[in-house]
Amino acid sequence: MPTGIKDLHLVRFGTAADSCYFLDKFADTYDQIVINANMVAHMPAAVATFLAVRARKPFLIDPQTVAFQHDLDHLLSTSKKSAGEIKKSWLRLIHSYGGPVKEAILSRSRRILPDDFKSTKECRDFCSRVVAFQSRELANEFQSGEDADYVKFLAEEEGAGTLVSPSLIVAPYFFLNAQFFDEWLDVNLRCLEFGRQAIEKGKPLAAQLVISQEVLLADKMRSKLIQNYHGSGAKPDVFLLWIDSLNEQELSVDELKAYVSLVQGLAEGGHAVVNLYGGYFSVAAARFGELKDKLVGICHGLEYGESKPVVPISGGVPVAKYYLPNVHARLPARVSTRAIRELGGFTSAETFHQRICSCRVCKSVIRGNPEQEFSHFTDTKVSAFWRSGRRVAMEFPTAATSDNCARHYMWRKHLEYTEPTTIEKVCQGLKDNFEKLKDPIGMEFVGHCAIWPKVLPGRA
Amino acid sequence: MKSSISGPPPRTMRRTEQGYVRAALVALRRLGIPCAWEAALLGRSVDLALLQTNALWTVEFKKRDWRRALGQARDHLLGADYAYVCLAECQPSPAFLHAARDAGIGVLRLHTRKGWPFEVVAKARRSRETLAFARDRVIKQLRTT
Repeated sequence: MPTGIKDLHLVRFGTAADSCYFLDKFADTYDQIVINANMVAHMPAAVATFLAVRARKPFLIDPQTVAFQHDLDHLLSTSKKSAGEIKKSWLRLIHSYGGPVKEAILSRSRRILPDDFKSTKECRDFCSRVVAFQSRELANEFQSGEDADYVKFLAEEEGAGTLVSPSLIVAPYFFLNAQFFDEWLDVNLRCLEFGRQAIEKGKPLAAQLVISQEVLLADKMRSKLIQNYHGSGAKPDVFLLWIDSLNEQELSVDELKAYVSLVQGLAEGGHAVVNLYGGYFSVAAARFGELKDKLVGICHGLEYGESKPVVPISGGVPVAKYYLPNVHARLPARVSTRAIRELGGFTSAETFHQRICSCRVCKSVIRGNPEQEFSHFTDTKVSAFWRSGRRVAMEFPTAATSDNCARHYMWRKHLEYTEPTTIEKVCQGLKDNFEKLKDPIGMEFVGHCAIWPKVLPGRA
Repeated sequence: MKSSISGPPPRTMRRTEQGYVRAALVALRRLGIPCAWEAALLGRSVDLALLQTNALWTVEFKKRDWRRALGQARDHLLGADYAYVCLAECQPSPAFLHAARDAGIGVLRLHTRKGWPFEVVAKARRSRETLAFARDRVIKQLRTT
């Protein structure tokens, strides 16, 4: 049975500004695109054109039903014009999904509850609409959308087909935390079954499992989760995993083992598992470590998407960080600078390319004086202002800095997913870099290089 | 008739950290020394940066927590020629002075009198980590008025 997952490397499309990192030279660096339903609802014509005409890559739509489980503040606009109103993209999604989401949010101004899904008919209809949104929303843009003529024109110009269909359908899903585990697990399993009934024959069905770290670490809940999903009559073709705020670089040996155990458990019986927010630990484990042939895909976003909280955190200043390949982590400018100096990368351009990175971006930026030229990855604009009676100065990355960091990141990720190496070399490299860098940059930034090798090779 | 009852003794003015920074900044500007408060340096915000005889100083002000101040001052070494910590409301302890010396960080005390606002308790070592581009970025933020 096909899983709908093309290969190991999935990338999440975040905003329209990201599109340049998915096209042209980057098109061959990844296998599949993940796109959020609210983005589809926000600009369906642009997304349809991007996917069908420009990127021409397999994709899947994350229906984001989990968003209606949180405080409604997360759905509200913060722009001056429409502050306090539900954002148009979410509103469109709510109307498309209908009840019980629509009733809870628009009529009762509250988040959804497990009880909202008690009615079999309502739950079934809801699942049908969520499935229909993923199946048809983009294809409709070619036929009846507001910009259908323009989208068709672009498609014809590029010789592209007119239908954009996701490679799999994700059943509606909700967050499972320890507190209301059973209640939401029941809703999820019902949605999975109704999703299977609504899906067109032959199209793979994905069960998205969104769990808290408590659930991950509790053996009983982890086992119950696996048993229930394996026992589901819906027989999902692939599991999409999202563990709340799971940052591989901050995990202990036991936490990593729990993650590995969960993936192994889900994969039992030949099931395919994808980590929707994963970093190099997952990539290495899937390529030649403990999760080989079990974890069939790892998704990341542009720079920020290797870990994500289920309840969105808004605000904060955008920070461009250089992805240091030696430690497989994005580091603040002062830390990456210290690390590169320690590793001898500033001695000459040749040593930088040899010891740090020789991707296309680094080769074009670092050409003669690495210490000086590295500023192209750290350059900022300073903005000073008063806040609560205090003077505050903040640094914002320049457009060129953000662009350099993002392009470098995409090339490095491509290498991580494809370069020929062995688990022994990976582990030795991590251990060596830990020893070299633990003193100059601290355990906080390099500790994972000592932890990962303890779990990656498994019992082999 | 003069009252024989004197008023309450003058209270010591307690300031916020930024209050101390501002006092130093005003004094430096009066002397025409290029300086900036809350200067950005590789993702850190430097309380006070100043150019003294072509050498870039950074000063991290803390009322008490010298360990935190030392951590921040260490990061300043990437852009400054000399990095200092100025403890505003307590005497530097021997442990602090020892740790600062090990890290190459200098220690200052803030004066309230007119003129140069600092007393150097321990001299900073010249940084061997300074990155030319980071130093240039801080210098661009300095002003004399």
